[in-house]
Amino acid sequence: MGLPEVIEIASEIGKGAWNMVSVWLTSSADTRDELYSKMVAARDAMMFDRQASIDADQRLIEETNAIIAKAEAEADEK
Amino acid sequence: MIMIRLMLLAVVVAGGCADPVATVYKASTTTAIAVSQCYKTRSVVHGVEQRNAQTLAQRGDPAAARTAQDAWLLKYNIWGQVCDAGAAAVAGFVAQSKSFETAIDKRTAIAPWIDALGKALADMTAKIAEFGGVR
Repeated sequence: MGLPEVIEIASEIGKGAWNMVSVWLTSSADTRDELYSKMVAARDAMMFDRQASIDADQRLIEETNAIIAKAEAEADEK
Repeated sequence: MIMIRLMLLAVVVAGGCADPVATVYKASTTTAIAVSQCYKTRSVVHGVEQRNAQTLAQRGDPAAARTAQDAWLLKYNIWGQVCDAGAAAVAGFVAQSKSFETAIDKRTAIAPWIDALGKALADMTAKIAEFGGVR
């Protein structure tokens, strides 16, 4: 086996290893457009979750404040 | 906390060798999911804290309930600022993301955003660890 063949085999091994790494890192099934769409969808879901959490939390705060206010009023009466 | 930033940076840098823009899109998606989790986790802890304050009030100790409520809402707001910072980092990145497609040096263009996303992830993780087990 001569030097050209050795270089060719080494090159193929290198390319194969690099392809494996690339596939692992970028999920080759996803194109950049698909990744962009997923990113935008994740952003929209994030903003939806944010608002839903804040709204639910706020309702709970109001409920708790009403219960505390009632207890304070009852304590004042005593 | 630092490990998370380093891991994210390592993935992005390594992935950037293949396609820096695609890889940072994935990093942004990951951060967006983490931001959602940040708010959801806060809501879970918030529910526990609110039930605690309600119980104190219903047992006839409104002063303790008010104290607990005030102390918790302070933490609630701080926690929210951290989640909001993460949301702003993601929203800002997405708004700018198309400009990276045409950047001559993509890795340099996205580097500040990687840092912002990594910092947001680390801060949110730290806040959940700090306040998530409150009480």
